[in-house]
Amino acid sequence: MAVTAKPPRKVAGTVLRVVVLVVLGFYFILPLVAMGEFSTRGINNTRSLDSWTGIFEDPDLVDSIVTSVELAVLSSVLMLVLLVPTMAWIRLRLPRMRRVVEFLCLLPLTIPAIVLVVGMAPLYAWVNYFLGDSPLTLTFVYAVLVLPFAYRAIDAGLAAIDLKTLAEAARSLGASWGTVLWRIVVPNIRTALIGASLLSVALVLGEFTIASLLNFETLQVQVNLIGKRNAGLSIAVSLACLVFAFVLLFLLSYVGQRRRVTVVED
Amino acid sequence: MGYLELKGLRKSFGGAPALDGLDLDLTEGELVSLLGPSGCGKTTALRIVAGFETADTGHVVVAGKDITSVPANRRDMGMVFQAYSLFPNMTAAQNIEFGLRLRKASGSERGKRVDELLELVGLGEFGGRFPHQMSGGQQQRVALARALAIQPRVLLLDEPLSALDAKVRVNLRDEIRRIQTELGMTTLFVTHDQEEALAVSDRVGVMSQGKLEQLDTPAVVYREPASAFVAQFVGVTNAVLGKAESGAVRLGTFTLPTDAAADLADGSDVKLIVRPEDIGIVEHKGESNGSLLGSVLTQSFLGPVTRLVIRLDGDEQTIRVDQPSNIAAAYPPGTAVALDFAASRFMVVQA
Repeated sequence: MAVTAKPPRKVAGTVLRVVVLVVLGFYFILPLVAMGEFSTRGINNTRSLDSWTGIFEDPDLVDSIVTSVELAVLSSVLMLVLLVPTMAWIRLRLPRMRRVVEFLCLLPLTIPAIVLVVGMAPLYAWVNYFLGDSPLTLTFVYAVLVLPFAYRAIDAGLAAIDLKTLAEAARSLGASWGTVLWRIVVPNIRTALIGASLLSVALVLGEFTIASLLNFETLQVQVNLIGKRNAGLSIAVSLACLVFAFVLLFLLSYVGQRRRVTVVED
Repeated sequence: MGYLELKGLRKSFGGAPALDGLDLDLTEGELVSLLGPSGCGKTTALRIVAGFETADTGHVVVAGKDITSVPANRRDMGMVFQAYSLFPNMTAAQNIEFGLRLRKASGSERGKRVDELLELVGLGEFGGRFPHQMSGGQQQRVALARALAIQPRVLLLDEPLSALDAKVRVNLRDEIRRIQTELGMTTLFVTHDQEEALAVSDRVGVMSQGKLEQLDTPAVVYREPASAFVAQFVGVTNAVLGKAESGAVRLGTFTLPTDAAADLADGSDVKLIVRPEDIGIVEHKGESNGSLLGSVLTQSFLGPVTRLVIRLDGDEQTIRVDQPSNIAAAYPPGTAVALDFAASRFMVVQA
């Protein structure tokens, strides 16, 4: 009976969805599978994990991994410390400045990395003079570099709550501005903050141009160097890096959900 | 000298005046409503008392102390907002506790106070609920408990009922009044709903264009409005256009002698302002005996009373008359009637 059969349009929709999923899945997974295949090739068509174990035997590579992870964390923290109070304050007290700050935050997106470096180089001469030439000084550029993405994420988070009323309620109960920020704003835009941090981490872990041109040995710079002498190792590191980013994504979204559930059960 | 005093408050936003020299005194334990149309400055006044806005000039004094320059977080004002303002990341109990934590109250003290307050607002079982698990009315009750938790010097209510359903609104407004009386809390209540203001206040301040038009008990504001604005804003009223004529108001062929018209120039346009329940009505048969004549246009049944809309003869004006419903039934639409102003209170103002 026609009554029980699915309408043809619905069937067509399902088919289309599956096709899109398969095609896109293939498109995204294939390079990863190929990287896995390539990095586990041994001599005479055998399989070998030499490239993967090699990651931990290369001290330069291990150093650069540590550096990049440190940079990712520091840049995220600096970005949050700069952006969250600024954006909250603008929404609460200086709404007229919003366009200006949004423009400033989106600016790094429009400036090519190479141009940034040309501008940064003389600045970094001073940074290095005062703070030493640790690659961690890249934190300053990276914090700027992640602004456009972080701004969008945090802005969406702030727009989702009635910040003005919540802040005024807290103020009338005796909260200082610091308390408002820490106890009211941050917990209520936590998901947005996690999102912003995640984007920052991903961006910093993948950044090559600026680090390379300013002569700092970050993970991507090392991967590029290693690629010139040991393709298997460089592919293994790249794949590990991607998988790490996926795991991070999964963990962070999981943490976000978990926290929410525990709070409800309190 | 009042407990809460607003002295000569002036405030303008970008050149547009919101408050134009507002003076207001509240005695301790009193509930005063500020009533007025949107944009009359009532919310601005409240926000200045709370410390969220700064007055251009003027002072706010609480218990003899000038707090004009004290920041909002050190004013000890409990405030309930129009928008739902509970912290979404905290349970009802944690919300109520928030102000006490900031005041470094001990855990046991906080627990005791939270239980008391939840009980007071009738939500004893709801301490563990998050705001999104509560109805609008429940959220506003918790917000009230939260504001009261810090034992504020003054309670500020910024249209806390306007987002709620009609029924919940009436319940909660009576509840607010009960709690306020029980605690003897000095309260400033801002609303645009005249029924709400009349129902719960010790005194009502009617505001217009940044100024108090009248400040008095609900009964006086209703029965003896100080101005045409108050008469027309509070309650339902008729404003009938006529002409002043030697100490009387003339509406067509009808003349209503009144002292109120004595000062007005003959022939000038005036408005006769009179409440629907203040007009008597009789069926009109035969000759005009000098009373105001018209015919019933429509009837609306409002429960105990029925409102008749009457079109005046020889005039396009209509006038609303309230009659007990059993009496009004005798005047179906089309009935010719004579209006009786003998027992009426009315005002006459320049049109």
